[in-house]
Amino acid sequence: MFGIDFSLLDWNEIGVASADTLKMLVSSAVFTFILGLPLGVLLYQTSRSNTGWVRIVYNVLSVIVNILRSVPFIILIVALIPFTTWIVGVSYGVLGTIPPLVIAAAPFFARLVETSLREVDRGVLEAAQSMGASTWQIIMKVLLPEARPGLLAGITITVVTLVSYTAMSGMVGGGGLGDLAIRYGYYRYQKEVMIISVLFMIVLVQVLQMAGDRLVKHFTRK
Amino acid sequence: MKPGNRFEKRPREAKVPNDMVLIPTTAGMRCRLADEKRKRLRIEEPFLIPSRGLFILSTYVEERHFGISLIDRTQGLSFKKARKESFGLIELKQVTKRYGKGTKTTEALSGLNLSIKKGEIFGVIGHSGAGKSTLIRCMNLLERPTSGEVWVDGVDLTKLGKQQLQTKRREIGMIFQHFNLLSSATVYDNIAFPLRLAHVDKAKIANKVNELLQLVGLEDHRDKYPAQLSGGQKQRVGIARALASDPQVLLCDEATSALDPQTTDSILKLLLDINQKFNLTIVLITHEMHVIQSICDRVAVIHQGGIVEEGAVAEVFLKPQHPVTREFILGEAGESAQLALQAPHDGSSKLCKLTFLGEKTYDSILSRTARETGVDFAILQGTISKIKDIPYGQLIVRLEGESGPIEETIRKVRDEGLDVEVYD
Repeated sequence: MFGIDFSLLDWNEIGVASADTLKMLVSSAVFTFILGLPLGVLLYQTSRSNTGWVRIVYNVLSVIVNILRSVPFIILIVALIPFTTWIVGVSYGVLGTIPPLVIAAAPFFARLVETSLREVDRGVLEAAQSMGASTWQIIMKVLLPEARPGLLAGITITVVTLVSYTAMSGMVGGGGLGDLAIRYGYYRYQKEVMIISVLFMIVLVQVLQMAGDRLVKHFTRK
Repeated sequence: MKPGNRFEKRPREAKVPNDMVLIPTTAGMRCRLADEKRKRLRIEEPFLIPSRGLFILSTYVEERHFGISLIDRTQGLSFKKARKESFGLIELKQVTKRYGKGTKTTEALSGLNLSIKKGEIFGVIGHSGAGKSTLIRCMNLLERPTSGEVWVDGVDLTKLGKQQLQTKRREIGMIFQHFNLLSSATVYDNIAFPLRLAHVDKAKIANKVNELLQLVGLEDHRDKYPAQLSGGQKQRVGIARALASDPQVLLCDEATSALDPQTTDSILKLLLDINQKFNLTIVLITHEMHVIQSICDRVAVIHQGGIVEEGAVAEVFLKPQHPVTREFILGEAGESAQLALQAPHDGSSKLCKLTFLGEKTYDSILSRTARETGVDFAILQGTISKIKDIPYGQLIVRLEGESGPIEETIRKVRDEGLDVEVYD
């Protein structure tokens, strides 16, 4: 039917591509978290201040984050080639995709962090302040634990977004399932590869979303 | 657990120069007069030593030493003024708080002065927007006053650095209208929270938290999350959390306003217990006269950012001076008093409000006196209630008869110790 023949598939290559996608996903997610979380906290903290220079810091950060978020990922990859080469030595393949992935996802994640921190009841922060908590203690012991469900939801959304970004990087020789789908499915008309790649990614996103939802539910106390 | 523990470290007696007197601010602590009599003193408030022509202007205790201020009588300060300037546990001096910038400023507090003594339950009552919330937030500098001084236990908070303020705040507990518990932490962890902030070791925390759980009656709920508790239980957690660091003062920001009447009473009872058990000073703000009436020793009425009336609860409650105060109290007594005061009266009758306080509440003073003077009376309205533990009654009556005997009745009743207010 429709001339589809799955026996033609090279499962070995699909396996390698899946592993590549996972590698890109996990490492970029880790770096996105490491960069995005403090950035989000910084955005939140500076946005609450009334002091002049702190407001300036917030505005500068905010503009940078907005700029990075408004550039389409496919263009960001190309624009970042010199930077990527400087950081990891190559601008293609699995390794060369990670820096642009992180640069694209971290500001996005930071905004999600900022939003979920804003959801934290101000009264609780006031209570902590009245007990003599320092700013650092308030961040570590009140803000982040109280915002945990929101943060977990943010991580889930970010990782799912990263899945589609890794696929996009296939356009510029990034590796992984997206790369496979472009090279075989698009350039060589092997629709079986296209179908399998897309199917795998659908499953991946489903699993990630379900796991994320479960964690959010587990940590919600309200 | 005893909030006053930290005083144990200080010397109970200390040598002082011959021309000075050592006065501790903590009621009940003994000290020595450095003169020939070497008399042990028990001093609860700044006082005058007439023989030496000295006024104790202020007393304060700092971390490592006693401090006193003495003033020579020859400087012309009256004792009254000296006393006025003396320190309570909490002293607000000329506290002003403005919000906003430029032309759009609103003044929440305008040059407010307040003195709260150690060990008392002090109530501040006012309508919403009167500035009471700002006032209590100024006492631990959650709101920094635009100008003025905030003294707590001898330290001006407005002069402290960030870290010193954080340490000082551990001596000032606070509970809130909406409890403000950590929703992600269990009851146990919520109570342990202030101790963990102060890096207290684990075993001590466990001891303390268990003690507090028992105090507030939540032993069975230690592993629950706030969302699983009722409002009253949440406030109990709030109270336990506020007491964890053995504070000197407990600030209550509308602590019972979100609770139903029954729960309110049980929380008020708990506060009163704590006050008596640990001699803990409590400051509470509320818009309910009922709260003030049930547990407060003294009350201040706040209106448009200033204190309009202040004094012992019985005094303010039974003889309100300011219209705002009257409003609050009438709200309690209801319309019936208003109605009673509208009763017709002329030359041969007089409308009076009699106030009985304490044991006299149960006495038959009025009928006894009336029998003697031959005056008739009609009871128009009456209430009996309690202020803290003191019973009181108020009776609105119309005295009928010749003006001579009526005057005599009023005089006699006054002699018996009742307060009589005559309406024309």
